[in-house]
Amino acid sequence: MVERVVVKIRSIRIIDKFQEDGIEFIKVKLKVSPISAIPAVKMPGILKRRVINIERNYVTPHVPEIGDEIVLTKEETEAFSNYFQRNMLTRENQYVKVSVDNLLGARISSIRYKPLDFEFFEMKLHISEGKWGFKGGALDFLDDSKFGLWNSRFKRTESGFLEYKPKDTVLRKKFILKRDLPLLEVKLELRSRKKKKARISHFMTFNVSDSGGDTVFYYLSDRGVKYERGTVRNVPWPWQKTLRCDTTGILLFHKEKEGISLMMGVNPSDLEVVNLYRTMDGPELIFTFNREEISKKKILKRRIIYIVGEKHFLDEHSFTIGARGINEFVVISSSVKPIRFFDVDLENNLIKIEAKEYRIDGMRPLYLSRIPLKETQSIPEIKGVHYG
Amino acid sequence: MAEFFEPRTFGYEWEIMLLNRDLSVPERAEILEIAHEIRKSVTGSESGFDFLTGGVGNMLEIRSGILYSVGDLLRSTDSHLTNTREILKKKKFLLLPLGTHPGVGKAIGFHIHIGSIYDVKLSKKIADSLIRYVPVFISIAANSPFGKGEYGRFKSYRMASSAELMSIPENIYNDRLFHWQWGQDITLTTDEHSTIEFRVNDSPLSETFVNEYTSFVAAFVFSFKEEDFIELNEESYEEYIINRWRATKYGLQAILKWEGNEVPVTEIIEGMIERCDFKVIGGEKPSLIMEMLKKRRTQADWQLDIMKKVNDFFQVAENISSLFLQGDYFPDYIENSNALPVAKPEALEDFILSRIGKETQYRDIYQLLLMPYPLLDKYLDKLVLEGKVKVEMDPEKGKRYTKIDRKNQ
Repeated sequence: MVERVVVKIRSIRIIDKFQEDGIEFIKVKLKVSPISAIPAVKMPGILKRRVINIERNYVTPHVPEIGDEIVLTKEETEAFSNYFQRNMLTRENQYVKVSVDNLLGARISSIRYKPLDFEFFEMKLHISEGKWGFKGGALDFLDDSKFGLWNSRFKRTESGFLEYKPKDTVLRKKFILKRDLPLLEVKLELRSRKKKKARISHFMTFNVSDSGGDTVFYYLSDRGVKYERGTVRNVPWPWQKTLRCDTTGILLFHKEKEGISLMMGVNPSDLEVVNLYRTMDGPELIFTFNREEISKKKILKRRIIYIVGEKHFLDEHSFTIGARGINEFVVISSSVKPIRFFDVDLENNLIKIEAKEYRIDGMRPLYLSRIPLKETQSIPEIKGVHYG
Repeated sequence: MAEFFEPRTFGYEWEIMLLNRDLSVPERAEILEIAHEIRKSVTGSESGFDFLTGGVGNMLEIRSGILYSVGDLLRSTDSHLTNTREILKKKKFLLLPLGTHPGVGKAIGFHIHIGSIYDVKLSKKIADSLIRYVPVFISIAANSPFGKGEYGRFKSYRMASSAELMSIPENIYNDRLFHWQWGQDITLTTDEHSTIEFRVNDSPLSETFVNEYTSFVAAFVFSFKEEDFIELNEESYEEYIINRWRATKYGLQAILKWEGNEVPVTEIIEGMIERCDFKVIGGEKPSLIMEMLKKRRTQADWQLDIMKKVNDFFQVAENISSLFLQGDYFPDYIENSNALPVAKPEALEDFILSRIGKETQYRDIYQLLLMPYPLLDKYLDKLVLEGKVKVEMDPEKGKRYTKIDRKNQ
């Protein structure tokens, strides 16, 4: 979503002069019309013809001139938000609301867990190579480049994909929110008219406070469950670690203070490496998938799933998440061993509930259970997992 | 006694952001073109470009070249600004002389070189003896109240981050084994040029301040004599680090630890000005700085006061740039504003504690202040002893500290 609109001043009227803290100000009324946005995106033609009135305080003797370009505040920008909302793809169910921004490289700009109104991907303005962009959300790279990062040329196809066609290549993304689960599936497809080797990376940046001490990335490694904290760096160069979850493809981003989690899963056989970076802007996670040959006939296909929840359970074979819906509590697990039962504490009664296999093409099976829940009941706790 | 600096020379490198109207960074070629025009129009100018850290882009750097007197300094600054303003009349850029980019907090500095000195050992001894004054210079020059996504917690966010490691605490002198190290608060450039370089200063937004401050730093360093050399010890180094942090936080409202006492920084500066012989460089007492001391206000306070009324960093930038391109309005602000009170300093251990979360790595705590490990340990050991944090050792992640939440105990 566009953070700010840049406008051109069409008329100016001075309405007041005053002094405060030893500074002389003038208050002016301006008529302005949009010319561009931050970050830079293609502006709809109709938007450029709109004129709005704003009031500003300026430090004398600075008086803006007709034709000057100025940046609107966040609040003033909201007057134009409808124009940019049209480029947002939104998916929503009882558990989660997901927004994808076509103008920003078909990036997942928001994953919000609805019962607690918790946002995993807060967007923050950022400058890279001179240009405004965002940190936050999830987007995709091709072949180690920042392909797709800021381009606003993703078009929606009839089959529900967002599609971008540079040169001989076609990148397609589809975002599927399962109707009755807190689960988002992202399908990536890469085609080419020419035969070549190519790969995709899926890149995520997270919303972390300054100290960042309560943010944990759990991952299933060949030596059991390990974790890294997502602390914000105090120094400019990033810290990097390869997370050895390439045999499982499962990670859990967990906020200890809120007790909330985002599970991410990919097919481990598609994975080349998973890297975690700690930066001054917060943690960044990159799934880099295997390089593969693509051609007219051979499509490179990759999948990522996101599952959100407010309860979690970890052991050396699985990560389990529990999310609250309108009338039920759903437990979902990603596991390296088949799961038969979950132990759940429901109003101080430990109950054993059967786990059912749930399959998404090309992915390791998930295991899930549903517990009917009345509004007055407390939220169940996941206490254990039984394999078999 | 022979002078340390022969001949007496000085000069500055004034980093200034040249930005598009939306505060994004123009292509380097556009900055180079403007730097080229400045060099063509200003005799002796060595202006060019420098890098913003983290791949953000480039900035303009106005370089005075070698100056021998305050007269040279005034002519250089005036000529640079007159011509730069004229050149930029035809362009649609903002010229923003602030210590940080107000949107993304990137560090922008003002580096003062003092020469001519050719003996690296001697220049290192001078640098070491000057480090107790480093926090004083940070206080006066504070002009970066905008950090990454926040403002107002520090008067110099730039120096609170040690200028993103471009101005770090001094490595002290060892008679037999000392190295050159890039980017110290006072960096030896004696082997490359013939100077010592003060890197702690935020990029300033007032030409009067540039002239007065440069001549003050030069006159103060030239006033140094052999009897001013000090042997640094743990106590004096700790004072330097604590004061450095207080200066970034409070600017001219700071109270510094000074030879064991708590002294307002403004009193220390008055004493420093008194000992300067400005005549040796053809100058006089800095009247704007004297007024700033009375009001305890810095350039950062001007930015914050503008922010109070416009409430948006884009508008602060637009105002400051426009004013700077028209003239120098900072002295008017200082003249018309009220005096601020001295600020009671937060305890350093509280600041350290506030930055410890869960399993915070030793390295991350060290990088907050770049305090030498033995001194930092003293604070951390005390926090452990008082039951405020616990420490654990992990073979992979090293020593880690966790704040103890007393409410939940």
